Amino acid sequence: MSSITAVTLIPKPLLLLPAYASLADPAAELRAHCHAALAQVAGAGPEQVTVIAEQASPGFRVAAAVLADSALADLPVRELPVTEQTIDAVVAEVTAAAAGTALLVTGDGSARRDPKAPGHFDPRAAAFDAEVCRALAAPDPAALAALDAGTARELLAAGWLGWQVLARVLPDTRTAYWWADDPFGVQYAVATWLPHPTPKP
Amino acid sequence: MRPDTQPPFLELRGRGFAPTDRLVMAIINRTPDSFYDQGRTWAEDVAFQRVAEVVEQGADLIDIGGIKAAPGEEIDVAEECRRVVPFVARVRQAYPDLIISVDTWRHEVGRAVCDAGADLLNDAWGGADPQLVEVAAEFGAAVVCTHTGGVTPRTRPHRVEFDDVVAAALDSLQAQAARAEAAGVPARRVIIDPAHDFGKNSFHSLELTRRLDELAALGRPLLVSLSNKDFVGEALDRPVKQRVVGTLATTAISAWQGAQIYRVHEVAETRQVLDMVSVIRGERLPARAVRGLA
Repeated sequence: MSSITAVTLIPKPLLLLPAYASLADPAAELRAHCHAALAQVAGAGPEQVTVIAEQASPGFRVAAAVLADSALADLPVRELPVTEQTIDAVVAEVTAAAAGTALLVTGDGSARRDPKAPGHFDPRAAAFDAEVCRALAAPDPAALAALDAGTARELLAAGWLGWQVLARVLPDTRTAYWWADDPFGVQYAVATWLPHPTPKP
Repeated sequence: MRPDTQPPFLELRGRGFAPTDRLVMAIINRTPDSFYDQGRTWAEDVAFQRVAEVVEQGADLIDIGGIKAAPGEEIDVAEECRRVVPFVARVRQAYPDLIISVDTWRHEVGRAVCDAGADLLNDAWGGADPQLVEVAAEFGAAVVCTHTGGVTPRTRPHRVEFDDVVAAALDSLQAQAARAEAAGVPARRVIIDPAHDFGKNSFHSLELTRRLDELAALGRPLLVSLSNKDFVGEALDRPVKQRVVGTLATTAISAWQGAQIYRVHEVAETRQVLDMVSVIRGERLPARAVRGLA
């Protein structure tokens, strides 16, 4: 992982943005998990945060909103947009950067998980999301790399690019924080991965 | 019509209406599963009785719909026609002067209901079927243009954003209205509707309500469909069956800002709200004023 001291995944619902605030925060639990995952990152002492999100998605704005109230609020933030064509280049740029980078990736599973979900119901969603969550939680980078972009698109899952980035940066890490749920019919996952401790002699 | 007479601002079934007229459009669902009435008028006789009720309560027109707006079981053209066409014919027969609107986006259904006596095609899905306006022109029917941001019919909004939802609605509605006129529907039969909650979250619907005067300023007949919608429920944290008061507040504000047609479940209450706003605005005389004047 070279200069990356921690990797975090958060979902990117518009609910997390101040522009869409309500009297009662529907995303209170999600927000708390995002902050808890980032508190784990703070413990690793990063000097900067790099956010990787899909070009023209809400990812950067959501990441900024979550970071602003987190244990990493005082760190400088760098935003790296990623496309299907630039995944390897973006990962190379992050791993070659100055030491002490906390990497923050945004993405979600399917929005078609039940009849009331934003994308209504697709019977494939549950199994697809189960495999995504298994691969993230392990972590299983090879399984993440194998996830199909077309299926993700059909299932209204906004995480494929993020999972491809994770597939490349998660080897030799362990899961230090994990939460997954679908309170609104969209699969959310919040996780922090840290490098394995120095191997025993 | 005499050549020197101005055409009316709005014309439905040959009747003219002014910008200060406020019409109640009563929803008559021919569905088993619409969000509010949940099959109440699914049986045809019950639906027919409901028409009598709403006419008595002061509805100026009825809006007959065969497919619920939310996602669900696919209802094809044949099934949609089965649900609405005979009913339109039955209502037309019993009420020769009643303005009948049909809530459909499909031109085939539009043709069949116009044939059966419908006067207005209420397309809730923003011109998803480009041939619908041609059918309206062919039959001399009116048409509603709605702003949906181009979403597929019967889908829910998912992370939709606008730089300016009102600007987007204005652009879309002006373009759709121009298209309807180019197809042969005269301006007095082209109605615009910002389509609260369609392809929009509650913030968008609230902003459209707050700035409805900008839509009214287009100078076209303006319809709003607010009744018991989620933006009302999310504003007040109230479930579907407890949104009437919030809906009526929104109705009053929309009326103040110049909407003409109000598509509703609660006809009698809406009629009172609209008449009150008209009286406040000085566009209608009080019903009977004596106090302090005797």
